[in-house]
Amino acid sequence: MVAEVGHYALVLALAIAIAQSLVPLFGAHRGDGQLMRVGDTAALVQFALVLLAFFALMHAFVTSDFSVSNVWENSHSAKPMLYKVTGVWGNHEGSMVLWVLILAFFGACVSMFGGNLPDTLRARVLSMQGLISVAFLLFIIVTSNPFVRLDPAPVDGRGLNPILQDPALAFHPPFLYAGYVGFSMAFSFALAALIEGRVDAAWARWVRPWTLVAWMCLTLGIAMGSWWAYYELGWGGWWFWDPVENASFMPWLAGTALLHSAIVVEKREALKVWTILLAILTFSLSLIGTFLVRSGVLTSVHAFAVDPERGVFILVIMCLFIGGAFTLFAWRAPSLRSGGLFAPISREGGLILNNLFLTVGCATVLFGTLYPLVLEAVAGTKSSVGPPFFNLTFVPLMIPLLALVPLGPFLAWKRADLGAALQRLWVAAAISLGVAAIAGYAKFGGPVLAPFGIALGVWLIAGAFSDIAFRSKFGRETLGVAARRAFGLPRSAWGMAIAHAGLGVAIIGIVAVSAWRVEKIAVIKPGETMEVAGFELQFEGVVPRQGPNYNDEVGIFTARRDGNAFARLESAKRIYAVRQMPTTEAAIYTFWTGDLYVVIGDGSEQGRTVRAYYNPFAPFIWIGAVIMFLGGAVSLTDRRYRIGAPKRARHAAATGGA
Amino acid sequence: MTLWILIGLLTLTALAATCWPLWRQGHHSAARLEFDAEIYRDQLRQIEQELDTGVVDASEAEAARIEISRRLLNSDKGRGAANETQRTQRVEARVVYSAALAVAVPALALGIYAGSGSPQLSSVPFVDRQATSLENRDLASLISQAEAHLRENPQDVRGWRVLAPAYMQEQRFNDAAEAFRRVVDLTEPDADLLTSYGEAQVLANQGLVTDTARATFEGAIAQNPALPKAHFYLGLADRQDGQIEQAIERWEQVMAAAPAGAPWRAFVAQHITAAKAELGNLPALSQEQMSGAENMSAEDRLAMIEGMVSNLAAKLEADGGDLEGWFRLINAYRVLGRAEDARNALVSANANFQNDEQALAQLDELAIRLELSVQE
Repeated sequence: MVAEVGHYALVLALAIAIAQSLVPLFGAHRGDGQLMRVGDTAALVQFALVLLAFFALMHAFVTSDFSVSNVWENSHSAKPMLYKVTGVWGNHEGSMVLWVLILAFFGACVSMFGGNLPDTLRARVLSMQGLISVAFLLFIIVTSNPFVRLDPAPVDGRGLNPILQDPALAFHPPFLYAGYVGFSMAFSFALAALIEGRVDAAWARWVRPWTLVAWMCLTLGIAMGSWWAYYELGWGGWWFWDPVENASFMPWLAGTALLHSAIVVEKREALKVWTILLAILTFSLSLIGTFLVRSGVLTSVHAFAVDPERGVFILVIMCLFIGGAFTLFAWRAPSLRSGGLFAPISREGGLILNNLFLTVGCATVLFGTLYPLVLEAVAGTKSSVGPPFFNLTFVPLMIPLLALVPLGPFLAWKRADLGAALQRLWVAAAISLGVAAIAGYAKFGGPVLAPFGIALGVWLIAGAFSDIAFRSKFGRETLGVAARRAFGLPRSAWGMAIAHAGLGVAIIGIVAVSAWRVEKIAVIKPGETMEVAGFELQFEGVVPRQGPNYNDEVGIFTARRDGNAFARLESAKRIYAVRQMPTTEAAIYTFWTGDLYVVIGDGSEQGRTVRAYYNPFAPFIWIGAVIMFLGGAVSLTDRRYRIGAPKRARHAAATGGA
Repeated sequence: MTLWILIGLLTLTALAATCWPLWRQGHHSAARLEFDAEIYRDQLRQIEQELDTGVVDASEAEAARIEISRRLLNSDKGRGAANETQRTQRVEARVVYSAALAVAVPALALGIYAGSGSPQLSSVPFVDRQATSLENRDLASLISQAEAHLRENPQDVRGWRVLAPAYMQEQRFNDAAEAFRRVVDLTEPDADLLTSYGEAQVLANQGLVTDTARATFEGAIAQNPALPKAHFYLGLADRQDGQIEQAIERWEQVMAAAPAGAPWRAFVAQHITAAKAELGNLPALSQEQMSGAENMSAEDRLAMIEGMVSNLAAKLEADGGDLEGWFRLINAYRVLGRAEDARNALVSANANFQNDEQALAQLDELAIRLELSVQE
């Protein structure tokens, strides 16, 4: 019965979402405050209903109610409780419910915390958000209903794809989706602004926190996904330019561009049309990402939903939203008043350059991702665009962008003095060149460009803090005064510095791993040792071990450096009983300066195949991403996003009449 | 009944909450202008702060102030638009809006739910089922006990012997085939055991008699030539190889040797009929078509067959999810001597099942059997 209540709640949510998309839009058109506020309550009700449906589904998973087809297909009574819970979104149907739940959550947030938005804008934003909900609820109910029942119920379930039974993977979809779906807010705000015909500084400030939250979630989601690939797939790599990874990376690039261009709108009321376009594009890329992953057009470990009917449905949704948005854009954008003027060398100019690099980079990734699909559809030949393509196109595009990042914050609005900005960065430049020299000396013989890559990372970090130091007058005031000034800087300035520094940290990790990783493959018998990057790995042997729903063959290694044992590493080949599918568990020992990464392979007469890697500075990649996330969080606490509703309104509401 | 009460309550609550603003009096929020002004006043404060920290100099700050003031003026101009005014509805209008929602929302929700829901089914949590259905639990726990025991003592033939039929009953054919294999490896297998092993292999491959399965059945017959089941599966293998006449012959022998009351007679007879139909007309024909085909000339018959094959091909092109259909089509091409078409069909079938390893393995098997090689 719980499942049926959930099913009905989902259907009722669809009906409410339809009301949410129509009533406030009509109200805003008529200037009718009461109708507009129906959007607020409808958004809350819709969220409550989808939440109810989600919990009903979770209940079915937790109690192993195999009369629900989705549970039977994706769960098993012997599965650990954690994965019963996360199994809710570990499959196509459930993950779409999560998608809509997050969508409804953002709508409910606008309704709860959007008191500082003008009524018409809020009504139209909620209406657009409702429209997206309608499309996806319809998609769930028509093609991927998670509440389809089986009668009689089967005895036991068919398990969860074992490769997906992993904490990082279990928790990264919610963040990834929060990122994807979060950009729907930017999209809804853009459409609402187009309908109103008003894009101004105030609008840019209202939309910014929502974009920021989406960007933060997506950053973390991508990082978690990459971390999962790093330690679970057992290939020693952390990013494979897999279409599924690209699908999340493209909205991130466009979203990053959007975050930066919205600053210009907020400050100078320039770049309005471009910012609206970016908001539409970013969410369109999120939709494309959803389509790529959910339709099964890609065949990779991630694409676990294979059904053409669904693909066509998402394609239709995508075309309606992207096409509709661009039509509205083409119709209304020309009527937007253009804003402030500026010289090419200025903060605005710098941000345009940033946007240019990011969008071209994004287009490159899009091309590399879609080209094989188009080729397959048109010519029927299978091909793949691998890392070499992206290394030759995307990476060179990002290098100048990264080199210019520290410069941006030193440029003044309207018209800037490039020389003065460079002068203020000489300390940062000196530090990074010094580090490059040290890196070049220490790792002599590696790729020539690698020390410069490291220098780029250091340049980003040092540049970010030069900005803070300059603004708080370090070196020109006494230390106490400067520290007080630094503390008093707007949180958004700190947020920017932290995020840019986080990017620098990640770059150092990426460059070091790409340039200096050491890889060894050997076939060894118990008792023998292999050597990788100065470490000795002694193979102790293989022991069987039994987990709750899997069996392990654990290879045990003792790691030594200079003859001193410092770690016992256990890498396993794992077989899940239900699906008889093998996975590998890499053993990773993390130092501050890198990861020792060992994977045990198959056995033969000669011994076991063992792959060992040393990935210098690998943890920096994910630490950097987390720092970027924190930068966003700090920026989000900036006082200017807490500007409330106008005083008179609050007064009027309190006294119950105006 | 409880379910319908809950559904009713849910609908009422959702509707009441949604319509609430329509009946709430006296909530007037500020005009757009005042929202804009809040933001611009804050931007002015920010300029002061930046001037104070020295991020901007006096002239830059002045210019910025002018720009922000201009925005304030502009937003004031926009205020003239009629849609900024806040109207209050008359009671009639509110009744109409609320009624429209109160009718449309439940009608839509109940309409969809009536189509897709299963209100008559109750939840079946695993715990309950374990308590109620003793039979299932016994077999399940027996299997897991046996599995645990055999992990420790993989050489225990008796254990594998017990486990294998239990797997068969649970329809875990892959596991069953593996368990039988262990028994066969560990002992001198008798003919019955071999037959069961072969059957498990066939079921594990979704009815396809693989070469190893065939060898198993042949081994069984070598020990005991009078095993109808082994003969039946060998016939099935022949049919899958396209040697339909041989299959029919073998099955007819099985029928001839079968005791009069054997329950599986009808089953074998059914296979014979189907194989005969296939032999006369590729692919299988309905009764009507068959009687029609008997009166045809050789050319007409061939044309009809070709027509049906191309029908099947068209159907598979539209919906390639029918593995059985692909087998039939590829076999048909092969029998008609159209090797090139057979090869192309195999390529398309492979493309259709590229995510299904089991299907791919079966297609490979078929390709090897029919000597169709696919160049990549």
